[in-house]
Amino acid sequence: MIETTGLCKRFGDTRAVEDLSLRIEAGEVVGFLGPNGSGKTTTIRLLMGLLRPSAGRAAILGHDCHADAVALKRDVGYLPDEPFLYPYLTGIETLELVGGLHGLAPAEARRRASTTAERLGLGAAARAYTVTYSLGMKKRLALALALVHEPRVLILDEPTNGLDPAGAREMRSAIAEYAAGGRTIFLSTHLLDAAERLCHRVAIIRKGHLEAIGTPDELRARFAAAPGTTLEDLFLRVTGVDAPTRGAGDGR
Amino acid sequence: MPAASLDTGALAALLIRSRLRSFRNGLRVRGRRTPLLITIAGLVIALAYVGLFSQAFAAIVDSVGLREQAAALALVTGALSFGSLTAKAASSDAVRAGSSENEFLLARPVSLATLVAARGLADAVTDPMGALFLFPVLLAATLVWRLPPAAWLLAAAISSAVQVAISMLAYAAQLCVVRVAAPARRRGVWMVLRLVAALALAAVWMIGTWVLRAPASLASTLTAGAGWLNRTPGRLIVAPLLALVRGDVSGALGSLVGLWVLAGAAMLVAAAVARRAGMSGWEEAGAPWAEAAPAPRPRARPITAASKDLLLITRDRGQMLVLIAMPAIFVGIQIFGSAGWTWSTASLARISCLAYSLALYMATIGPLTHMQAERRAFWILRTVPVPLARLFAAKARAWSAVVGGAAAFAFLPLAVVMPPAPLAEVVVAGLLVVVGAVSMTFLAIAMAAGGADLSDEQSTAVGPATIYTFLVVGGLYNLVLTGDLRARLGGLALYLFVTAAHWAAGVERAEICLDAEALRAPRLRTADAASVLLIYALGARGIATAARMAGARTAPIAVGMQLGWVLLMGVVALYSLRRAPPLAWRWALPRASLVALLLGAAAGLVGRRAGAHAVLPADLGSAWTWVGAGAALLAEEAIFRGLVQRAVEEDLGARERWRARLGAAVVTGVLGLATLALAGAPLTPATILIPLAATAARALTGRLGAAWIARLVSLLVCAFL
Repeated sequence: MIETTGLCKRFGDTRAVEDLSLRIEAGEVVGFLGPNGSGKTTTIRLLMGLLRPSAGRAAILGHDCHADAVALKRDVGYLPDEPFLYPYLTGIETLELVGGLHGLAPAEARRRASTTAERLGLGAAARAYTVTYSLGMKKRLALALALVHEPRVLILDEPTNGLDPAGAREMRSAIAEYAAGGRTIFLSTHLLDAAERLCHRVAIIRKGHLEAIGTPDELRARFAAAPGTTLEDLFLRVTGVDAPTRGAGDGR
Repeated sequence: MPAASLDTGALAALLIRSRLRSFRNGLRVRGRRTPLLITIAGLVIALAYVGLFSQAFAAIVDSVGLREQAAALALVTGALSFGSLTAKAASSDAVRAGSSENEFLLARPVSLATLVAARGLADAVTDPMGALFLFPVLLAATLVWRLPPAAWLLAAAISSAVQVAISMLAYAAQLCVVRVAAPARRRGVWMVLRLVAALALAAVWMIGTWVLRAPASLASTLTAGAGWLNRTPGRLIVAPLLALVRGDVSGALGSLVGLWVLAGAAMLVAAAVARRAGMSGWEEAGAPWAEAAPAPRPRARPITAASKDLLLITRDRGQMLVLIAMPAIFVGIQIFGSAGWTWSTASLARISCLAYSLALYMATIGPLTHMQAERRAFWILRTVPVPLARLFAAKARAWSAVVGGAAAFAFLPLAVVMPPAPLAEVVVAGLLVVVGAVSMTFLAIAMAAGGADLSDEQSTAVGPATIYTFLVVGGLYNLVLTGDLRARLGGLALYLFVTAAHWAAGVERAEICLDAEALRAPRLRTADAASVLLIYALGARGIATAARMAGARTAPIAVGMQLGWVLLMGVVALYSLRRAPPLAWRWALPRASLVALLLGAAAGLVGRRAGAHAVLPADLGSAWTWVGAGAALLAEEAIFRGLVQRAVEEDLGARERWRARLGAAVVTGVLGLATLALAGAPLTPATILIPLAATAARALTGRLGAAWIARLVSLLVCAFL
């Protein structure tokens, strides 16, 4: 479903992603974890064909993410970390535009725009200009844009980033609802408890390298952690940032 | 203990330090090339203004007395100051609460009044181009009046004082708008301010062109209006220099102090307005208009990629005003300011140029900025299953209707008022205008996509280099509008090639415009080669046309200019070739030279038999003639076989190599013919065959040197065998 082989991306001397190989099966929900600047967003942009790989290959549903980017996007929905929108279009107009660009007939695009906006709780705000939206509303609309064509694969970059607790919970419920529908979801997040609840497997990346991938229990076993060890502790250990040590260091 | 509030001087010093440090760090991170180029360009333009205004002001000084001279200077400096004031007041960026710098600063223990005053002072130091905006004009006056070099310092001090006063009054005006106008009406007020600013700048342009075009006529007009002009604020600007002309040094210094006192008073006014305004109304000053506007009615049909841009621009009415008003003002300036109505509408060619110019300005303001409008929402278009070429084509079609329609709308009434001409010629001219406008729309979309760098949040999506290149390429289409049938066909072929090349490059670049690494990878593009070729071909035509108009007396000068032009463009072509990757398939030098020699000799023999005079220099006996002809051939080969053929070959290289070589050779051959046709050169077997031999030599051997040999050999065979 999603497969990367030796994927690399360099910006000058900076190696943002290095030799990344992973495989995600149909229907799986995989969390992509890593510290800030570890290469999560770069990987996601490589998957979406927004960046050209320096080496290696990425494919979704058998389509090469770079060479076959147009065909790939028919079945993929994408939510960026910072979802900027056309300021003087309303939410519904933006949804209709994107529906049309996905090949939906005008009437169908209009119907799907309304139902998707309703399902994601955009309410009356869907008729207002997006320039007036809060970050939470923008994220909801961006998720609606990712879903309006009913894709088989969802790629979500920090979907709860910047949302208040209620907004984050609603976003998680929406993702869980779509995951229950059998969609493949690849999401990067900093909310480790949410990742543990939502995801079948998690992948941990550090300085562009894939450090570990597996179910939380598999990772606990692999890193010899006690059964009750939280994903947060595991994450800090794998990424080399041990919480107590850091605390002691801070205190000095 | 809470920190004490900053006073104006301390805050200004902080702003100056942080801006200079930010500038220095920017130079370190981004390199000095672009700021250096901008500075050089700014200095060259300023020097040009000094030269032009000196010449015009000298004519005024020769024909009228000191009172009228002062009035002329007051008119120009007053108009420039008023234009600057209205432009600053209309910009609305500097004081709006929504700006990030304001948000940052107003979160500190800084009052609005202090911020406004400090920013005005800091601008005078950190924005030298702005602070010295009057300097070129005042410097020209000091040169004509033969004042000592110390007067230059006086001129700089005058300009700075005026700029501080302007900044302060502009801030005060903006604060008044924010404080007094209700949110729902505020957008309308900004639009009116922008319109006034545009008209003021148009007035500056018209006065400037009047001064430069007909200084004597201005001087005679000033005799009557000098009394009135000497009572305007412009007279205060001129007063220090005028005192110096009379030899009154203390009077000059007194006038300068007076100007700075006025600047200080303006600062006090702005601070008082800011204090009075407080934060009331201020906190919502940066709020988007949409927050105060009702939600739009649902549309009957969903918007599409084609209609999106037009819808966005109709909703962003400030932008729409600019789109409609600015081209009309520019063309108005051309008609009423620069050339005059009678001259502008005297022939079919001239009204064609006028109507086309309107469309070109509109294309520059509208579709050329489309990537700037997409800027942050471009991810939406990159995540839908539609090729970018199709999305851009939809945009171009929608804009074509606007820009092409505007061209037709301008052409039709002008065609009615101009002297009668055969209907068929009028129809052809109208079609050429509309075709030009439409092709410029496609080119604008393509060039903006080709120049866009959305990987860096700090840089603008469409930089000045893209805008100037577009204006140069677009402006040269005027030569197609004014040519005979052969020139038009040649010009259209070249424009077709340029548009297609930029289209391909734009689509390709837009695919990677979010990828900093991919964007910085150097490569040779057909689009760059096409721009160089077009500028070369139309420049050569321009020189040839000018030479014909000047007559036989100036023939040596024209030949020199042609030679200089081809050498310059040859150097540009060779410089552009540095981005080409090394060729993997080149014939060995002896074999390549032999083939080139044979091809050149064959073409030379055929050419000689068919009449070689068209390719030979006029004076065969002069060694300098041969040196010039040889150099011109080498430069021309660098453009055609070096740059164009190589770039096309690289872009076609994804296919089989022999196909790329054949395709590039055919394209280069056709472009050579189009260039000949456009330049008005004779199309004989010699002029056609010899470049084709060079093209074949380059295609077969992969060496530019082979093309050079073929071309030189053919010339020698034509001349001596």
